[in-house]
Amino acid sequence: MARFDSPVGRYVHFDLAGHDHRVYFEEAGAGIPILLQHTAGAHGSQWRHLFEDERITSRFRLIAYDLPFHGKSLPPATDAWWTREYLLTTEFLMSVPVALAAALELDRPVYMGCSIGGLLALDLARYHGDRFRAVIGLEPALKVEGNLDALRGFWHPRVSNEYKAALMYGLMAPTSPEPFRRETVFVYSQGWPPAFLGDLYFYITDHDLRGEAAKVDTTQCAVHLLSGEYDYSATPALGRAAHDAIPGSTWALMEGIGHFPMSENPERFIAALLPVLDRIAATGPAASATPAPATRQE
Amino acid sequence: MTNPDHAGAAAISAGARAGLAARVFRRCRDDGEFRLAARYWTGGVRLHLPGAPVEVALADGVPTAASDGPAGLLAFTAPAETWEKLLAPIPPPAFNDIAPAAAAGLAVSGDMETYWQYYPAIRRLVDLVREEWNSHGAL
Repeated sequence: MARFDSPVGRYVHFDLAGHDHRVYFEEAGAGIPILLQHTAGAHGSQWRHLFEDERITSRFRLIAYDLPFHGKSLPPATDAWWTREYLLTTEFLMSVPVALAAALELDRPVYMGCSIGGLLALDLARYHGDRFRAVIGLEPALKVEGNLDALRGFWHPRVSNEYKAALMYGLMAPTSPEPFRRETVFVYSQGWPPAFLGDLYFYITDHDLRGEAAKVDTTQCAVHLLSGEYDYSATPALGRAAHDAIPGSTWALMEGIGHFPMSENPERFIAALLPVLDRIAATGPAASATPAPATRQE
Repeated sequence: MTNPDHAGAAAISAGARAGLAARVFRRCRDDGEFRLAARYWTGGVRLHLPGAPVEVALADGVPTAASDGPAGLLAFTAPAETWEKLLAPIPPPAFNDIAPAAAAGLAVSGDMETYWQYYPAIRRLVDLVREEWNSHGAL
């Protein structure tokens, strides 16, 4: 008898920026829906370990999607996308989980994302807080400083995807299980060559919530933040600063984890995630008007 | 001008320095991951470890006997304390790879395209140096 993993994948059509997109997603579990956003230049397989944990899937419906131009979500057939440089904008990135939630008729789902997805969690809480009961930002930041011009090697005709993939190795904790670190690197080697750098346009250039963070209403949409100790990009200091700027948010440091909690060390990550999920499950569709105090593990 | 190979040498035991370059060369020659990542590479890489410089020369991807500055050399320098953290058995945050250690003074000289192309090989080289460094009680 065949041995199957839990998630089932399929495609759904919806409009993004005036074009019909065919977006791939995988799902498993039942209960409160959680939309899962992968990191830059990657795809939804990063979430595979969560699908197999009954402590989560017995209470939550997990939905991991591939952004357009990533994984199995192919470019739209009605747009000449090949004639211009791929640049991921805040507006477009926000529109994906919003449109997916509407297409699947989800009732105020939870959103969880990592890296670009962790930054996006804050944007969604600020600008679409009425559509989500909570956001969970992994490796979040209000602003990541950087210079895209210094990253020419990320999309260069004489440099392969192996360079970008190998760089990801150093973003993970040296104590995370070796097979999972290698798998995380492998996923990065699979991407459309311009995708990672184009996604970093959002990460480094377009996303800047420093002047808006205090306006996030956590009584409407709860904000939970988790930072990995070994993340030298979206550092724990940046995550802590985001927490400090958003009244009512929670934040915790994940020791022995880097930039890819869900894929590099799922056991340790899930241990950090479960208390957050417990709180969300106990709160219901509308976030509590009296947010719990910040948490911190140091 | 201070020789980068000598800076901080007192922090490294003589036992660790002795033969480190030769041991690392053998590890590179026999390591499947390094050999695959270094395929077609003609050039070399030198790590200016304090008191124990390590250099690996390559010809079409094959490690050759260490030479004195092959053409296309990539050279890495850093303060002694940065090397010590980078080569610790479990490096602390921000010192667990070449890229983050740049913020702590790890610098590369040479052709940047070659650096990008062979970053996976250099990253693996640092792993092998770390293993040899610590297997002889250096830190």
